[in-house]
Amino acid sequence: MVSKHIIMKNSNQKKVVLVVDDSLVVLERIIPMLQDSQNVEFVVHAGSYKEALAVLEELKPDCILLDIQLPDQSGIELLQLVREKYDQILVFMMTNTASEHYRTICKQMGANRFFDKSMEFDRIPEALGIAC
Amino acid sequence: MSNPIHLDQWADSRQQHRSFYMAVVDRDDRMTFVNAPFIQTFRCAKVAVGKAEFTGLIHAADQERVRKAIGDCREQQAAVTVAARVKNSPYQWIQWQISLFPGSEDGRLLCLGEDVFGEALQAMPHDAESTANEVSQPSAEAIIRAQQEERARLGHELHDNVNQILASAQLFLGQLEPDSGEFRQVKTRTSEILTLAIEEIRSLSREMVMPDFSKMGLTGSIRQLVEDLQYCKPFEIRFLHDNRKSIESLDDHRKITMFRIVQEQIKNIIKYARAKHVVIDLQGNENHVRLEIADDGRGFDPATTRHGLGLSSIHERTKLYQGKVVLETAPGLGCTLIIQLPRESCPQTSLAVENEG
Repeated sequence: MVSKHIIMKNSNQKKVVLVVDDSLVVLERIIPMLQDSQNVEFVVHAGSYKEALAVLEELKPDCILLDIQLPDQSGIELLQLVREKYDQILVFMMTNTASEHYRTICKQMGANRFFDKSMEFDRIPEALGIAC
Repeated sequence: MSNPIHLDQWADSRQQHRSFYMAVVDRDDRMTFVNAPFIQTFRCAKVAVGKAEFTGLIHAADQERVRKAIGDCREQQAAVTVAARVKNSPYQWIQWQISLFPGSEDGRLLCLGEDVFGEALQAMPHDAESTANEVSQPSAEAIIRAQQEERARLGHELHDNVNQILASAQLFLGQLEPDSGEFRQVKTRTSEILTLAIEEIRSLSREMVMPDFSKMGLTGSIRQLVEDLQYCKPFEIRFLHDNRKSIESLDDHRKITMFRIVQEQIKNIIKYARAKHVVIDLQGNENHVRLEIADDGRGFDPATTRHGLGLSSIHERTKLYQGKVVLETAPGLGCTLIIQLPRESCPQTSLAVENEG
């Protein structure tokens, strides 16, 4: 049985970020981007809802960058679970379908930010620096 | 602007449902990025706070090789590949491709890994001896017990659930009344395929589930295995034994060990030996039980042939009870495997008494 570890960080420490997205393009762009970010200490990538759950069993990130469309389940369901179990984690939703409908749903479900991947991708590191 | 990286292998692995491990490692061997399969496999929460070292997660016997590969990569500014086992899982090999992280000026490395399977796994450096020595006695025992339990669970699952589902399908199929010759043929063929699947699963689950030694004993279980083989006729096979009382007075763990060894070696013979005759001889006395499995197949050169997982498993199981393994074989001269298991083990001398022929 794997023990559960919670990582406690104070506000001065760099942050641990979990990226949940199954797109190759996003993965190839976001790893170098977050590697260069001054605010990020460590990045974990999960390519599905199931992988994200396994990571959350092992560690508690400061922030989750979460795609709405995941291959197994919806990112919105993961957002709901994170809000129920790990309320202090910041959740930034990312999507290619940045309709007002989704923005409203995610906001109601407790997402902290909402990014249009096609238009606002480069703003993510800056947003992490401000929010975390 | 960050330099792009290319991770087509990640996308390929996802399509093929294979695990793919990714890590970015800095000059101090600390990780700054990993993916979920990496976390799951290496089971190390310290990874996530930059406290664990990448090479520290590698099996001790392979660490030096990985350090050298990392050094070569930095020195030659070129990608290198290196295969290494996982620290706490000495049977899991991962092939790592290590390259400089694109655009990085501080010596960071991108490490991409995939599990090594099948024939490639057999081609890995073979040091079953050192592997067995590194696995402590209790953990080796725990691994084997866990394997046995898992096999039994899967065997029951196959027999009780999957086979019942197939049998239900067979019943429903039987209720169909096709109105043309063509459909009748389809029904007959489908029924034959279902019967074949049911038989295959029955045979597989029988192999996986632990024999009930209280009813048949070790000799009865081996006898049944031999009868199954006589039915399939892959070769002529005979089972000899003496002093049944002495053999059956072994404890159940040793009986299971002997039975699994018989299964493993028979599998090896079917797979590689092309034998015409096989003899299994089981003898017992007050000190030990001796098993000999001889075949007249094509044999092999033990000095140059790598041991597959089957033979490694036989060595491992025998070592657990401080037994002896002797393998007599040569190209064209068949193969004889002799196992001698003491009735009582002496843990202090566990590694000294093994003798390999």
